[in-house]
Amino acid sequence: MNTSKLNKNKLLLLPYKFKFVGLLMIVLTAVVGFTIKLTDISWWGMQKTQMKVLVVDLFILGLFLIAWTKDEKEDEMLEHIRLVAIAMSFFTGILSSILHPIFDIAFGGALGDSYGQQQIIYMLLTYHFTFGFRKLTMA
Amino acid sequence: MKNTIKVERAKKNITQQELADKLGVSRQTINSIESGRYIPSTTLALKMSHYFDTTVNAIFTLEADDE
Repeated sequence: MNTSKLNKNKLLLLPYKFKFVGLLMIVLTAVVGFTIKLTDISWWGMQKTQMKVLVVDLFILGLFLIAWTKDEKEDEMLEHIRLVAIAMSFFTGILSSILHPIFDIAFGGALGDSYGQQQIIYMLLTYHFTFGFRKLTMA
Repeated sequence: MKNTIKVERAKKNITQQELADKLGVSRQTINSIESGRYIPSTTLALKMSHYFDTTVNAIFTLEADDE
């Protein structure tokens, strides 16, 4: 049977080596993030808040690279687990966008402060947790 | 859904890893299918039946709670 057409329906994922690029980005942004938090260091004349936003952006990109990269042995079961993880992160995104402002109103948080970045981080962390957990329990 | 993969493997005297390599999937996937935690796609089920020289129906059987 010719299954080449079926392969066209597969998720377009990055090659495995990008996992290490993502991991490196997460480690580097964590180090830079802590340095910014603990010191008054300033690069290229940027303000502390601007630097924070940039570091969080790169942190998100690192998490995304790990998420959107093939495993060493990518097969249909992993793709199934990936889709479940994507669905879970989708629900987390919706839930957090509904609940986060309510919590901020109830507990006096800074309304609208970095919602986008926070929600994407929640979604990516949910994805990684679900993917890792399902992979462990199914294998 | 129950299956007879373990029996078929025993007949051919091959390990999960060997079967996984033949079918182009991971050993974990074969283990999950064998223990009923994952139901394979039609393509993989057919590849499996070709490899074991039998039919998909002979390997996979529906149980009462599947219907």
